[in-house]
Amino acid sequence: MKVALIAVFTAVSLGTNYAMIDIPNVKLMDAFVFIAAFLFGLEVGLGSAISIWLIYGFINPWGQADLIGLFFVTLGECFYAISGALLRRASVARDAVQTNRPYGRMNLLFGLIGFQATFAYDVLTNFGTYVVRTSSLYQALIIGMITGAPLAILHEGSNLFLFATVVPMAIAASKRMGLPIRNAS
Amino acid sequence: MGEHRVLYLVLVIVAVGIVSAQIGAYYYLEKISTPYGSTTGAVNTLINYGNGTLKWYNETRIPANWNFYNLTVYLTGGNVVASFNGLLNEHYVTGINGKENSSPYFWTLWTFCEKQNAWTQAPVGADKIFLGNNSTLAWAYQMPYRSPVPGARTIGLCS
Repeated sequence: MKVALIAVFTAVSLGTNYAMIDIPNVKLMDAFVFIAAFLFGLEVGLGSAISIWLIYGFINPWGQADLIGLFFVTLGECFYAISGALLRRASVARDAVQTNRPYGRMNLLFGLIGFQATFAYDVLTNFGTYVVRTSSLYQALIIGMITGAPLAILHEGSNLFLFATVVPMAIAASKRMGLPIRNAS
Repeated sequence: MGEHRVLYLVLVIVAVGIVSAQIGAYYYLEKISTPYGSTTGAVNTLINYGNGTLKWYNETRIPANWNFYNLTVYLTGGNVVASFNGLLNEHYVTGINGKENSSPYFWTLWTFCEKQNAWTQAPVGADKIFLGNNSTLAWAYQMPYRSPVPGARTIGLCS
């Protein structure tokens, strides 16, 4: 069952990635990885994150990722899975989902969590871009943040919007369908 | 929300901090990307074809409003292969004078830092590099991250 879920989330993520390929750094896959982990557990989230990048990192119109870059983006993608899995256990998320008028709280909560997970992803991947090109880890961090700022802003802004809209809609829909938020068998 | 008011507040404060940091980083990048303003001058350009052939175009006089992409097209007689990204408003150069990207070899863009006497990979594309007097830039066809001048020093960022 978990393998099937990972396959579905990977397929949907890849499909939307390729459909949105002309818009750099605006992707639904981060939200899908988060949803996978939130609804079905950490293993499904991590499995989806890794599977997505194993394919997207090699079959990509913008070029193939080098191994170091691939490592960092895959690790960064796992942040969304970890965020989703941690949040599903938190009372703040349960309260936001179960309240009678959930949308305001869910929009705010998931939007902020998604925004911050995206910032962490951008810091890590921009650092990874420069870690082999500079003489110190600190330099790699600072230079990565500066040079990566334009695309990072685009990424974080788009994910703030997507996490505040798409994620609550998916979770509310799963709640309406009676899908329990527990580990898949 | 009452029970988790503090958590929401912390999340908002952290988000504001992130926004501030990113705006600051973007501002700094804009500042270092156009250090020379719009003065005319002479520019030195190196094209390293990766097979031991290095061609210098020294002291090319350029109009005030030219960027490095314009200069590249001029120096090569238009022999540049590039795709234009409308969202980023930049060209992605994939070929110069008949030499095209072929993994793992790519055209990389470098600027020379006078203060540190070292080369650094340009933090922006050629369209965003506006030229000033005595600036030195290079295209290098290579596996990325190697100096465009063999044996020359490289650094992360000009200061």
